[in-house]
Amino acid sequence: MAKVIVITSGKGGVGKTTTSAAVATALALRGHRTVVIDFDVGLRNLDLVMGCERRVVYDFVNVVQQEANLKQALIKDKKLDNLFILPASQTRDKDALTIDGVERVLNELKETFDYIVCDSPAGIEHGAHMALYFAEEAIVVTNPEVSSVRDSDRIIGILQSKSRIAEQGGTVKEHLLLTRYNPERVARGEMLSVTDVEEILAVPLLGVIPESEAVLKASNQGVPVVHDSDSDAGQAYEDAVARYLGEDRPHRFLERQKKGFLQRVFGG
Amino acid sequence: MTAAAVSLKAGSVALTTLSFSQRDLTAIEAELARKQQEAPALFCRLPCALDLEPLQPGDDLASLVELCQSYGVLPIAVRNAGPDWQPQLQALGLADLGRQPAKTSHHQTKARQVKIHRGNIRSGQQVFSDGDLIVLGMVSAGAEILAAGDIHVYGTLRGRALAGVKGEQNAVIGCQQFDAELVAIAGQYRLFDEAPKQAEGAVVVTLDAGNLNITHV
Repeated sequence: MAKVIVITSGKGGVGKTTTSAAVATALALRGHRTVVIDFDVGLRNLDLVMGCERRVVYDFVNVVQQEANLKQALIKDKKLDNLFILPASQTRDKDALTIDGVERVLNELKETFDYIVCDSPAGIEHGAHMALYFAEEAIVVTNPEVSSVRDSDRIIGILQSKSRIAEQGGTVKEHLLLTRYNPERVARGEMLSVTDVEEILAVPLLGVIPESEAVLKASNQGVPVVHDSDSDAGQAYEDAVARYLGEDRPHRFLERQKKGFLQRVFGG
Repeated sequence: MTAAAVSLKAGSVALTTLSFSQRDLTAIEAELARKQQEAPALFCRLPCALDLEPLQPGDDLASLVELCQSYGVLPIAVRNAGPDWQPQLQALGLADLGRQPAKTSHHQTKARQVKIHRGNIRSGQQVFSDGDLIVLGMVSAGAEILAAGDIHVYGTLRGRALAGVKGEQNAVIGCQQFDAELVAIAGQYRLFDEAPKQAEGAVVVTLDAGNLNITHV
């Protein structure tokens, strides 16, 4: 049975799309048939991060409004045969999505996929509501910074009151993913620590992604960062997905990297 | 040794008292009929004591007992019966409970409504209780909880808590970890602009002569 996961945060610019691309890719790398949907209608980005922007013909809105079928709109990933992207429309707005339409698309996707990853737009309005409404699990992406934490708290409240599972009296399973974590700035007191964020949000920690140059590079090249298995961020996402699938892996990248002698002498 | 044929055991049984505001049997019957209609399950061989206070010793107690029985009430004793009543009590086999003040159900205080919220209250959420409010979880910054009665938070209170919103001066706010943005009781509020380091740990907030007192427990 397919699982619907929403990647959400409330606040913009914290790394939802990067996370959606990385999580979907890591799930596919582990052999699961995965589709990632861009719910950010009007500000589509996922196709860029996944490196398939020049292959978009039909999009999610076309399918929701029955102007195209799923087969026409799904884009197969460049590297992985079991990973598909359902891009958003750039020329429409979020009101083009309807509960019934989204449900129909998700039900159709459930027939063929193991995991459906929904990349939510920022905010708490219609677009974000559409992305989280059918979610069974949520990965809440948060930066170690007070406004991001506050917005995550808000979106968790919405998740547990306005999603379909919540309306039926259940709870959406929450996972906390802390991104752009910089242990040095935490040590200097400029950033909230993992413990601070965990204490404020009271959500189980799925992973900590360090602030990394590899993320920007990966986005610009259109290759999800998990393909860069040498990078700290790539490894951290890999760890997070392994944990999500039930593996017990210790959290890494929480401490300052000890600089070697040469690095201290020559900088770096 | 055989067991005694009779043994006495002390015990207490709650006994309903039936009081009358007038002596007219027709009026009493009408009222009994109405009450029976309201709560038919209650009026099913309900043992009770009759408060004879407003009645006169000349009144026909036998008819009153019969009337009660026909409405599912079984008089087994009387209260507030003077010596003049004794012959009638003996004839009807009713016990005399003496002069005891009977509490009528109208004077009993109504139980306060309690709302129990299981789980955390997140930023932007608002929870209201018409009575007391008990939160089994934390209250995030930016969340608001309101109650006409008391508020108890079994977790950290980081948001706003307003108790006694309908003017109850004796309302209290209690929490296991205090880091609130605002607390208020019966309209008296206090903001916590600076993160109150003094207030870490379990805290009870009360209103005393217009002042909000924050006490560590």
